Amino acid sequence: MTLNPFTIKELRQLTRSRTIAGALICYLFLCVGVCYAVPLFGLGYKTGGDVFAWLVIMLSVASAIVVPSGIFMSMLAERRGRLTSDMTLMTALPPSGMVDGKLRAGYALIGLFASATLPSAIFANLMRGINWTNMGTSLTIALSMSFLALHGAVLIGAMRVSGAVKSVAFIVLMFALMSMFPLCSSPTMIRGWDGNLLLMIVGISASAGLIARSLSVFLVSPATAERDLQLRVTSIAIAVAWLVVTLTASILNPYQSGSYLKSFSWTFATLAAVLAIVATGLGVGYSRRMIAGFSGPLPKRLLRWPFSSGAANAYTFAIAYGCAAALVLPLAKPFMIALRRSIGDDKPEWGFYGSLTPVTVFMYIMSVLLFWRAIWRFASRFARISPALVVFMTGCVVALIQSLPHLLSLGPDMTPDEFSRMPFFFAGVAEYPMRHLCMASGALAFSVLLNSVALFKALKAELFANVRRPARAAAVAALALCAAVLPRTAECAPSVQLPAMLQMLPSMPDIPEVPKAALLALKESGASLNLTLWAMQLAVMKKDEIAVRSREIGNAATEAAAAKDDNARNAAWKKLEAAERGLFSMLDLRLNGMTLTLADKLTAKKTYWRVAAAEIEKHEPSMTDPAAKKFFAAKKTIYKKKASVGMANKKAGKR
Amino acid sequence: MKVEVLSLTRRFGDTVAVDDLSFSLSSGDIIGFVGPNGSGKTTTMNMMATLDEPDSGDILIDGTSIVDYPEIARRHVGFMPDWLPAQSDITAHEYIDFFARAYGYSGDALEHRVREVEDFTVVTPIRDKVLSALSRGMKQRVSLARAMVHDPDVLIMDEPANGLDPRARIEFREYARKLADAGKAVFISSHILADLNEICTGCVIIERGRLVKNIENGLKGMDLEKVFLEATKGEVQ
Repeated sequence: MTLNPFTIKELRQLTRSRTIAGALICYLFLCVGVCYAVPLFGLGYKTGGDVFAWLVIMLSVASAIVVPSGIFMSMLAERRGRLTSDMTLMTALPPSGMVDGKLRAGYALIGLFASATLPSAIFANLMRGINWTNMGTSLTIALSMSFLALHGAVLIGAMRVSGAVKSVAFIVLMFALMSMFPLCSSPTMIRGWDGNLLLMIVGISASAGLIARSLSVFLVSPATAERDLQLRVTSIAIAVAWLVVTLTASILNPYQSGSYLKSFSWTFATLAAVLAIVATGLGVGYSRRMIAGFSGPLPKRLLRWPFSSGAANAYTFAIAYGCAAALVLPLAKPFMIALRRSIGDDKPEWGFYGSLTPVTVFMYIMSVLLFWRAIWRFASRFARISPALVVFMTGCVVALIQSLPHLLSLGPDMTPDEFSRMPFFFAGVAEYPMRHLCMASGALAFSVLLNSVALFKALKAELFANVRRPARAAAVAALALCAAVLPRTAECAPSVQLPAMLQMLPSMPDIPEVPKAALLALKESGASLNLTLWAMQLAVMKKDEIAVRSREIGNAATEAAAAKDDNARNAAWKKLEAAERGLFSMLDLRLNGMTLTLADKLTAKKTYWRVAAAEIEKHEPSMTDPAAKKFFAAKKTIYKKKASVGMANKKAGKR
Repeated sequence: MKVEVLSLTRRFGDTVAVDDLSFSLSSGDIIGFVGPNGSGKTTTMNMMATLDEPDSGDILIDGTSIVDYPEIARRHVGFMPDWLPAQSDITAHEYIDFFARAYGYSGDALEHRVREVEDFTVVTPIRDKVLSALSRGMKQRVSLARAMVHDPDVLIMDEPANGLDPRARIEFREYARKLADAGKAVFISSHILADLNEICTGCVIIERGRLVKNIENGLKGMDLEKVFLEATKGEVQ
């Protein structure tokens, strides 16, 4: 078996690199250090889980940031036009050889860091608190993110723009991926199990990574490599595989099928925008080949219009592709209806808004392109600021704005889990990943525009000249601008209905598993629309889980009230607290694309505690046992304190 | 082995870099490629090396079109650009080894071939030095070794003597002669007309992308400098 020459070259350089050797040694020390340091904060029956959570975060940083950064720098060094890549493309090695060689070197490095983690991970398992299944799940998610990061790094490194612009785009990608880090170490993964989530993450990472590889191969291909393009086959294979994953996940979890299918369309709409952005930076020949790679050889008359320039190619292709992606949802509607009916849901909600989601996402991305173009013109022509600096500073400001509510809502009652995730909130973590992808797409668009101002002029000229009806062009431009000021995506459309629903609350029937009092308390406490809608949907869709947890809480409370001594009461109270934790773990779930900020979660918990304290207060007069009365009074005080701490930050913490 | 350049044209936007260029070279030829700065020499060489695609025209290597079958053509063409890639942290040996592997060599054949080209280009004494530590002349030898590692039939050299001291320039003239004697077709661009006068069996002169003179029957008795000056006064053949 002959090894890829690029892999050999990279591994030779890596073995000589003091940076890599130093990083690996530091990493080993950190792994051992974590195993000793975490138990110092409290040794219990689940310390192993806490140790493993830290190990997986460290592995995520190493394999999803450090390794891709190294490979990205290596790709920068192979830059086209002046260096090794041109010479390599003259050899018998196909363009895919360069890309695969870099990727394999990255896999080897990731494998090195993963193997360095294993001894400490086994030690964590011996400390109890984590089983092999959960370890495997967490590691799979971490390595899936690493796969995605590595492929993204190679793709950005392969782009034909300046090194500075590529570096900015790479930083944006890293910020976007950091939002996934807490997933590996969240209680859901460490102590629970969510097979659907695992399936989705692995499937999306694999698909996106393979798409990135195909695009990278295309970008490094020279003009004469027509026979090296296999975009169509690769893309169709990935699309089919991903669709199978999406449909399987929908069948396994019908309640989430809408969001799975919407994610499928979303990402393909974003991919269309990225392809369009890539194509605007390339010459006519490349764009034509790329499109032919998907659709087959083009008729001669189509070679003139609308493919007369790279910009026109890209714009036409992207609109067509984006609209095709929008068709996925209406076409999938019968399937979704059948799924929901199979679980007894006779009136599944499905509106016009859902079908428009990928189109609005696509228009949002195009409007980001126009928006950034205006920013660039202002920065370079009037303010005389480097546009790359503007992009970088804007990214930092966006991250700060997103993380500020979390920072302001932090309080002394934070759980260790929340504390451990705190550093990642600086990157605007726990936000919807697609938003970061949109931001990354916008940054990529901006970077291409930085490289060629004439492209934007060509885009505008082609639009007016080829479309031939200024009214139509104006309508497209107006749509794009509206998308920039509309709610983020069509998923916000349900919130338009929310005020009317909230007004109906007093007359709604009781949902037995979630007291109406709790929902009203949420509304009255000024909780965000997101949070209230979440609570209502949670009540409807997760009623079984809520019923189980509520019953456990109720039974434990009854047990505590009937207990003869403090030991029995304490044992019952421990059961109650465990059931409360189970209830709170559902705050981490996503329902139909709703995302809760830390502030929202804390508000929900405080509302729960306030209601629980009120319930104890209600039953206090009927308690006859003085010991029990004293016990529950102490618990009521704890609940009231938990509910009141940080309430001053409520307004600042709300979105 | 015959290389035919047929009506080659390449545009970059409104600029015509190469305009309807035609010439040919055969095994054993050393053809000089001369022209003022910006006349399209590097563009032409890039197209011959399959690094770029012409807008019209073709390049045939023994009848095989480079445009239609670039992967076949690449096996027969070795290209030595006028720069050496700045891979500063690998040794000369690793650099040549990498390209030998990229051309499909492996095992004993790989080792044998790498040694062979290192001996031919006198890279052996410096094989374990990193590229960044090499002088310009040494780097050019490494670049030549890389270009010929796969034993191509056509060698394209873009200003190989650029920046070299007199001894190194003489060495490169010797390499070109040896390669031609071994049956290779050598295509050299250079601004040092005296060097070309010494070794070339023919000369192609271009200006603003167009052929102005094609000398096919040897340069014996010719003063290439005079020929170049006359040809680039604006008279088109």
